Amino acid sequence: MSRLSAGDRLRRMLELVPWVMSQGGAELSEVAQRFDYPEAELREDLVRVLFVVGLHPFTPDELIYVMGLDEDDNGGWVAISNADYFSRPLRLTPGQALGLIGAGEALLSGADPEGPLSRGLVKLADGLGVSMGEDLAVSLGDSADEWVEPLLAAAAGRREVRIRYFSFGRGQVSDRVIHPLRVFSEMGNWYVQGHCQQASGVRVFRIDRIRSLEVLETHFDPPDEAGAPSAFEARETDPRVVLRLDPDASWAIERYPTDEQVVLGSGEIDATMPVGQVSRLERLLLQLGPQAELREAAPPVSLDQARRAAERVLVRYR
Amino acid sequence: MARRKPEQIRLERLLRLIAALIDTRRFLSIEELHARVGTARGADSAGYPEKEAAAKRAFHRDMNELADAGIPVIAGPVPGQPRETWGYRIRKQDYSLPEMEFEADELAALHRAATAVRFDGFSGTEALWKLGGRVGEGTGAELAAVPVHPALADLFQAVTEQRAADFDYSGQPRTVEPWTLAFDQGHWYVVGHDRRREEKRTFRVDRIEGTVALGPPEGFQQPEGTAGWVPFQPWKFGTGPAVTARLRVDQDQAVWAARRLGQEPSNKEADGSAVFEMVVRSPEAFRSLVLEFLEHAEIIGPPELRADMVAWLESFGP
Repeated sequence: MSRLSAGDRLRRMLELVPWVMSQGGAELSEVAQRFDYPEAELREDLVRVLFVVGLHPFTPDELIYVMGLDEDDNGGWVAISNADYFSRPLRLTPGQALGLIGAGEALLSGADPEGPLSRGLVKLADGLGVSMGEDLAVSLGDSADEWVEPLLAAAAGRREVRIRYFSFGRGQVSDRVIHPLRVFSEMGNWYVQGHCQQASGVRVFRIDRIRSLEVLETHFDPPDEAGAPSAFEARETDPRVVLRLDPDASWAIERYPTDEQVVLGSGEIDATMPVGQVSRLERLLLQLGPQAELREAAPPVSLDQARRAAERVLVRYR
Repeated sequence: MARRKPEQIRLERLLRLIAALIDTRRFLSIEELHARVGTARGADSAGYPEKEAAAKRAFHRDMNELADAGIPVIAGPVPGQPRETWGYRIRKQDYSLPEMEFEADELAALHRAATAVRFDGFSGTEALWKLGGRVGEGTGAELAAVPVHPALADLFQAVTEQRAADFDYSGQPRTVEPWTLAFDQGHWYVVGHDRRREEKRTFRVDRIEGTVALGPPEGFQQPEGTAGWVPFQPWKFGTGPAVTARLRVDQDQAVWAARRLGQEPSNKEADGSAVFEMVVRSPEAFRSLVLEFLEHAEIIGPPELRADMVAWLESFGP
């Protein structure tokens, strides 16, 4: 850890003093761990700084009492008293309250309502006067309750997992064995990134499309390096298309990966996009209609891909 | 014995200053605070410089450090002094965290949540120190990063303290009584009563222009029975008349469709496909939704929505 500034020390000291007081004393090593204060620095700051803090005129009865430690590295236990003005921790800033309650709420959907996260969050929100779900609602995707926990455990324990997976792009359900490497949430959905034996490569799976899951007894060796985390990461080998977009359709660029965007004099945008799954491009083309036009394409995509897709859907209506 | 480090000497002065600011029932002038904190005499001595100008500069540096640490110092007139003499104090009720007692497993669960879900810029660790320190190991891996916006903490404070919020949106000034802050599908929203338009509105936080100004606390009351956040289902919102649409989805996409639509199918057909009935006010948004399923879904009725889809698909060419 880099050297703590005066401000870093202040923030920690203001919170650890009330905690040690409320406990009636504590092991120095535990205080160091709880408040991220390197133990040697903590000992020095308690003995050489806190001990001489107090109120004017700084007579001994006005100073903070730090007991159990001395300057010669003796004592592994500390008690603090005579510091009524530091007896309570500092209130949370709105940003800190938002961050902590929001993080907890994001994980709450699948948690046991009697479990420690639920109990802790209810206490925190009640104490701060925040009503969860009403004042603040955080959703990282609604499938967190089902497979996220077992996948996390499998990734941590390097256990293979068998999944039944519905591929939205291909419109098919398939059984796969994967090595889960990473579980993450992005744009409102949960994903697991893992090596797929059937595809012989690293793939990203949307967790809400997993129909069933079984953690196997077999372990896997971690790869040398896990790939980039994005679910929408383009591969070098993906074919590229150039899509001309109406200015009103520029949202499509925010949502899909692009290699390059060229704004034309007319305000239209020529976006060069990798195509991982043709069906994903088809969906976009059908939704955009006249706002998008394929200008360049490479197999398996053809320039009239939108018309072909529309034709397939129209079959249902004839 | 070795001399103390500069940051330790500064820490002592900051702690003395906070103690003095808390241990008073009135505003204290800079001169009074200087007297109560003390004057530095020698290199190892904490306190303010003897010279008045240098002491003032040091005092203002300290006040900035306190503000950075989130310590609520307030300013006001000093009794018995000319009106232009400002004084400072910390009110204990502003400073202190409300009473909350956490079990170790609750703190560990909150710690896991804070490490699993990252809110950029809002340190979960510092919040945890205030609740009694970091307990347990966290998750070790981040599951999700929630994007943050500069206005978010202000809006959260506005929601929890019932303060009206003034901001610019779509180039127009708004005054909003915010009821709920929600994160859904990758975006933050604030929902509340727009005073100028006199109706409930939803704003995307990342589209708020500039800063948010807050009114006084308890500035409004949320009407009984008003719901804050509803998941984003754009086909339900629009200016058109409400129409009940029927959508048939193939069996292998029925589970995903139920999640996407936020409802169970109204019936299942002999071939396993599912039929969903839903209220549609925006035909365009509904068409986009149906096209997400490509040829795996079909609008059964009403005839006008079906005809609209056919016309749209035929526009791609013969």
